[in-house]
Amino acid sequence: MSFFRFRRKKDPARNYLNKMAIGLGAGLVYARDAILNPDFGPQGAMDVLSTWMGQEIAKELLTQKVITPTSSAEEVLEKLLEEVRIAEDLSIEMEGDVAHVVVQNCLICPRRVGGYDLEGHTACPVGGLVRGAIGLVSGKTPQLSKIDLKTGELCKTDFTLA
Amino acid sequence: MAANKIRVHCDICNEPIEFEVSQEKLNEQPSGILKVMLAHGAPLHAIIVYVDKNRRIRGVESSDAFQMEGTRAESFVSASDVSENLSEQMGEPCYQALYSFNEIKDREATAFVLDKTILKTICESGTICLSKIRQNVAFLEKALGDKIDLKQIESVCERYVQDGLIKRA
Repeated sequence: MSFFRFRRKKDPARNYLNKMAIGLGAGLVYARDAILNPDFGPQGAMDVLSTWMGQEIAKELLTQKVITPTSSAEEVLEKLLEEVRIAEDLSIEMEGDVAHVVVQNCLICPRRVGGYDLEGHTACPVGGLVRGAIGLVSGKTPQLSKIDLKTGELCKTDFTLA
Repeated sequence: MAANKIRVHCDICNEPIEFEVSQEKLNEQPSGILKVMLAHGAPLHAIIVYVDKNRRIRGVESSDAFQMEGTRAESFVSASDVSENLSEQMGEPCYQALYSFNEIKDREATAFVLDKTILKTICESGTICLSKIRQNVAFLEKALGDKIDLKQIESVCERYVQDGLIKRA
């Protein structure tokens, strides 16, 4: 007979993975009809699921006091991208209420990093993550006004924050 | 509590209806829109009025049938098309697609799921008003875990009007 006991080391950075799994589980249940809708395709399913993941990550950012409920949308965006390490090169340019997010060398791209060819589809979680996180903190959901995804190369997404 | 009268026209009985709503109640609405159900007339029928914070009527809807608990639905008030006609009369924006959804789907392959749903609704409806679009995309509130208000939908629609995919009807 053998007995294993694992004690969890405290590492707040790892909580984000747990939170993403929680968001994924909740999203699968609450959004199951939308996910299965053929009109939306894989990107639509990812939009919905990553919105839930973004909400859960935002809760963890609040718990760890990385952000506060009064943090601006720009701060939430900055900390989210910093803590979750979405990409190697990432820029945010504010133009009035619009945040232009440019992601280069993405670290969560299913195609570039995961090595899947995606059969011509996209499955980018950045838009949903940001939408979910900012929406949870500010109570106002940002609009994804422009999405230009070139998987594995350069992805541009515009968020209207007002 | 200050309460002022708002007047709306009911196309079912063709009568003006007055109702009172306090500014506090309007300000309390997180979506910015207060829904007021007005039951009136003989036979009894009802309309739902959407009022914004500026006391402007943003839309009017009516049910196809009206039944009170404990009564039998022997007389129905026909109200098809009333809501959309009224919505247009009340100045609510209505939209019309310029392409089929299949053509738009390819072009907007990476658009956010809410935007795609709005486009699909417009493509499949001919002409459709804002509050009707909201009804059609309401299922996404549960899927996305947040509220989708009229302002959000209008902003998506106006963006696609500028892009030339849909037009104001």
